[in-house]
Amino acid sequence: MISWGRTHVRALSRVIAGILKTPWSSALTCLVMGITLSFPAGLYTLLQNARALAGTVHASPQISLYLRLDDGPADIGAVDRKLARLHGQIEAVRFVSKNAALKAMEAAGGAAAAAGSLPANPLPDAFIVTARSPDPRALRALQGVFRSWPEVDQVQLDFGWAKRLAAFLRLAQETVSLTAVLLGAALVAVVGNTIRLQILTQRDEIEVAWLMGATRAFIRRPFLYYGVATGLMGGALSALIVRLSVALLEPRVATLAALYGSGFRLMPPPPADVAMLLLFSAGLGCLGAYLAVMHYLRR
Amino acid sequence: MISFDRVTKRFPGGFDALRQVSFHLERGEMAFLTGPSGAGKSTILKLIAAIEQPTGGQLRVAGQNISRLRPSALPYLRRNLGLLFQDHKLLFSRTVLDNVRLPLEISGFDGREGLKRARAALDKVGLLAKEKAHPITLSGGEQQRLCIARAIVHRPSLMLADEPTSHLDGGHAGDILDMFRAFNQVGITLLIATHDETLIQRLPARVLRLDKGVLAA
Ligand SMILES: Nc1ncnc2c1ncn2[C@@H]1O[C@H](COP(=O)(O)OP(=O)(O)OP(=O)(O)O)[C@@H](O)[C@H]1O
Ligand SMILES: [Mg+2]
Repeated sequence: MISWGRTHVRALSRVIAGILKTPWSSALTCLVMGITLSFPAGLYTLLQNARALAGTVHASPQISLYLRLDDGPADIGAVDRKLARLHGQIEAVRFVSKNAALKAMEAAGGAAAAAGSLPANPLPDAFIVTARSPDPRALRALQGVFRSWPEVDQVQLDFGWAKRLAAFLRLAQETVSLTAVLLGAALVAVVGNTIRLQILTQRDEIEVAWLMGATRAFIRRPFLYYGVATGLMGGALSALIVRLSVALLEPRVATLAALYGSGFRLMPPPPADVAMLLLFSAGLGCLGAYLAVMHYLRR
Repeated sequence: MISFDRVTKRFPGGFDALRQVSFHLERGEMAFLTGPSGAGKSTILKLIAAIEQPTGGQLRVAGQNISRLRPSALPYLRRNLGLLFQDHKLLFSRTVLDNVRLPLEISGFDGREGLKRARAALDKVGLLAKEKAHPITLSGGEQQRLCIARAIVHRPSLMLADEPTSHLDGGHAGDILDMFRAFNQVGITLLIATHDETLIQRLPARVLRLDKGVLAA
């Protein structure tokens, strides 16, 4: 048992020596892993956030009324008055002007910032109506009433939206899984190639050890550790990238959400998800190393 | 310990390096294997160590049929061997001491006891003072002695030496023969391949003569 532990400690120390001997190739592999994994990890984090958001949507039945782009203040007033008359069925009404919506989009940055350079604001004025009854039939009736108003261009019922969101989330989940599998396969190849180079630099050592009665497991062990170490560091790097991205986006998302009266906050991945990510990347590194060593030993 | 029964080795390409070779080597015996260059001496040692596979006949080492050896059993067979290679096969990336420790690491004999054994083996060949040196800085004779320390450190029962004195002058070759005799006296079976006839005359050991892959009677 003690000797078994020592064997592993020595294998591990040889791994560290190997990493120190080829610091650039090791660092580059970790970097490639970290950046590549941050795509599916980031998508997954967004997906989890969207799920949380979808959960809040169901709780308060909301109807969004988007006015026509050429509607003026008089039309807004008219809609406001008509809504006031329906107070028996309506819990709350909130007005989001097109300027406020545009500002929020600009604050959110990214592609939306391009909207600022457009000659005219492409966003409509909108009323966010919270219905008293969550009953889908009552909501659909209200939707019909709103649709009949000439000032209103589009009516969005959150129930329909929620259903579409759920379908979209399922699709997104599958996309994330597929991306993870494809990029995972690519990373196995990347790690495998790095390990192959490591093997080549230690060809003599492997040959002599083999001639002196080393088992395949003995020869494999330091390379598997190297793969796991690379995977863990790559995984940790991608977790860091996702965490920083969330921290960067969070205030802008919060501003946007607040404009629509939502307390939604962009959440970083919880520790359990980070652990899963590390496990996944360590597994990829281990698999890449295993394939590279077995390929070499089979020759 | 070793039993060749009409063993043949044909290399890919059709060259017969060994033809119907038969001999026995008892446990505790010491023998020279001699013959001109290309006679097949190294090939015999490689067959015993299962580095090459025989293409005919039967070969038994320590009671095991080499041609029917399971791949998973191979490492455990080799751990009972002490190998001296014609081309040394020292690891220049490791220190003298770490070269000697390799066979111990492989058999899981690591740590303090392993270190003690490695130092004892280096002491036996007179290289303890150079334990921290790198093999590249050693003389030809010192490298040869380092190989011997590495071959005996794990206390093998059978030692196979391929041209162990090839680059040494008479005096140093004599030292190495003295070591072999000492190993043999503690029970190690030895098979020494050499084309050096003067060497053979210096030890009272059995001689196997090989020529063009055929063993002389
Ligand atoms: N892998 C191989 N493929 C083909 N032929 C080989 C191979 N290894 C050895 N031979 C041939 O087998 C013959 C015997 O080789 P071997 O190395 O056993 O000779 P040797 O007696 O050890 O010679 P030396 O004294 O020069 O070391 C030689 O003719 C050699 O060319
Ligand atoms: Mg030879």
